[in-house]
Amino acid sequence: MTTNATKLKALTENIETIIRGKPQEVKYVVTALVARGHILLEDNPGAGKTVLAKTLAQSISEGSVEFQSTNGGVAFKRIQFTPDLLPMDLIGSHIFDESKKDFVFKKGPLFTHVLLADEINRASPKVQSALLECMAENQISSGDATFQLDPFFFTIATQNPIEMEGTYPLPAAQLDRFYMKISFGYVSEEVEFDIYTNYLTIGNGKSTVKQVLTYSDIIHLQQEAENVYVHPEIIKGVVRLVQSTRHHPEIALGCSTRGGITFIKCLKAWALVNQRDYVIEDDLRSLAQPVMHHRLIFRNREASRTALQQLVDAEVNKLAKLGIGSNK
Amino acid sequence: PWLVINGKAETVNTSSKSLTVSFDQLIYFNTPHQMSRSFTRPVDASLCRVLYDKRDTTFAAIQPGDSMIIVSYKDEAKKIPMPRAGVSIENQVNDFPSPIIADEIHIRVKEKNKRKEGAGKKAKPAEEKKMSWQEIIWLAGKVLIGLLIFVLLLPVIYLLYCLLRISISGNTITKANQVYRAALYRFHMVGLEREDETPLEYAQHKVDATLSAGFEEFMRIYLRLKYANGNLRDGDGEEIDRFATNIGSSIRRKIGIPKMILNYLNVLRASRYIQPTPKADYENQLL
Repeated sequence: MTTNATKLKALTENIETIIRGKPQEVKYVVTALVARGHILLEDNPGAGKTVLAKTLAQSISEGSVEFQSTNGGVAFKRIQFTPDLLPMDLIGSHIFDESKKDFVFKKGPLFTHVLLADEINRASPKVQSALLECMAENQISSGDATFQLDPFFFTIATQNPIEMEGTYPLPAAQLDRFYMKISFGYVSEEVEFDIYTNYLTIGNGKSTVKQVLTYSDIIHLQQEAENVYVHPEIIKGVVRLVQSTRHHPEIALGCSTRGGITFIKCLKAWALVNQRDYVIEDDLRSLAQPVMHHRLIFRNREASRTALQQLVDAEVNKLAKLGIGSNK
Repeated sequence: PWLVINGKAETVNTSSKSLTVSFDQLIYFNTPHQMSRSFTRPVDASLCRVLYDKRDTTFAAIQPGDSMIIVSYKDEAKKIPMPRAGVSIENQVNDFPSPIIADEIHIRVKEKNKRKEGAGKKAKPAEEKKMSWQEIIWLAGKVLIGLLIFVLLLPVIYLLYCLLRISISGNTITKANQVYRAALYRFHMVGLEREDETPLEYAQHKVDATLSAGFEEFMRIYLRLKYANGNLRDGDGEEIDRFATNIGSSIRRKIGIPKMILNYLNVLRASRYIQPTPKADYENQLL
């Protein structure tokens, strides 16, 4: 393992000093970042989504993250999505500059590194589309000008599973652009006790999160993740899994090819986050739900809980039965 | 025929296809004669047809001591002596050509063989008749007990097979494979059955949590050998050997020998290990 990969462990541990009792979810977020993807958190208010995004940015930045850092760190922005939000509120707009006697482009909050798009389903579809286009293309078009976003650009979007009135749920095609969708959930009783006991320490820690990685470290890690080895049997397993979602009687819409490629990218990043330069069968199980579940349309609620798990179990079982040297 | 001899082969020469025959009965120009003493005469069988049990055979089938009928047909070239009235047959035999040219030799079916065949045919039904119901039940019981013991020993036999495959595995990769399969089986037979977990989860949450067998460390090496694009690392072989050696002791330490032996008599558990994974409902629906 490279030194950079070892630093990923330091990153997750650093975030876990603030985000207690959620090691798996923290790893998912870091995996999405390393895979050059974006993540959607579906959770109730107060579960720690903003703190997570901010801590992640702080762990890669030195000092304040409210503005673009000049010392090899990253910038963090948060946008609270509301029904009256307009696309120009995100991407920016042309304003008249008296001194230049011309219209200049005033960059919006999307010009950042780590973006927290809070309650994304509260904004209108055109605002959602503006954001999702930036996520997919990594660029912003305004008028006749096109602005390239930073290669680091990483979005953590959240949506609230309750109070659905007046919201605009993301359609399947747009959900597909998120590499992962996870539910942060509440912490266990023991962890909650620990948080209540040490909330002052945790609160103070939030402002003094130390930098463990730099912007360039992350860029290198993203390149390193691409070189993680995926055994042909694992790729075949992913192919079978994707195909089976398309033929399962309880699944109305199966996983797309883009979904399958995303799965492979996430598997590589997940392996790196777990300090490996190869993917194992356990990774399929760990990532299938967060990467694939939101890409599928199930025929009923029961199927949404069990169908994908059945497919993953069957596939992992097949892989587990293979011996060393299969199709190497 | 001018001469039919009922005799016995004394000597046989297969290279010259000739033999000497002793006889005391003959038919001479259609008149049977029983002689007062036995005569021995050479016979030329070079142009002769040899039969055994009415089927053609070769001269090589004739063995010294075989009983046979020798037939010689009338032929001018043979210088056949004509019967003389008032002269005893014993005196006339001395005038027969030497050697006597035989046209057919019928070897008599050997009595021993006949008796053997006959005895075999009769003995079988006799034995079947002799078995009583009690004996049949006893025999069936013995077969059943044998089968039962064999079935009960199957889990142990399979374990021995696994261990044998480890011991004959040539290189470290093959050995890792065999150690993995043997370990899964041994832990299964202890009662730690793998369900939907991956082998690594099984090692972490079931095996090591119960037996502290170091299975997780082995699994990490095994998964690297299985899925990584690289060769063995230093110390992998030793770690695999160490784990393979320690499986038995860690099981004995936690489970105890008597329970371990009882576990290996649990054929149903062993069968659950080897049975294929049942197809899920959705897979059946797809079919």
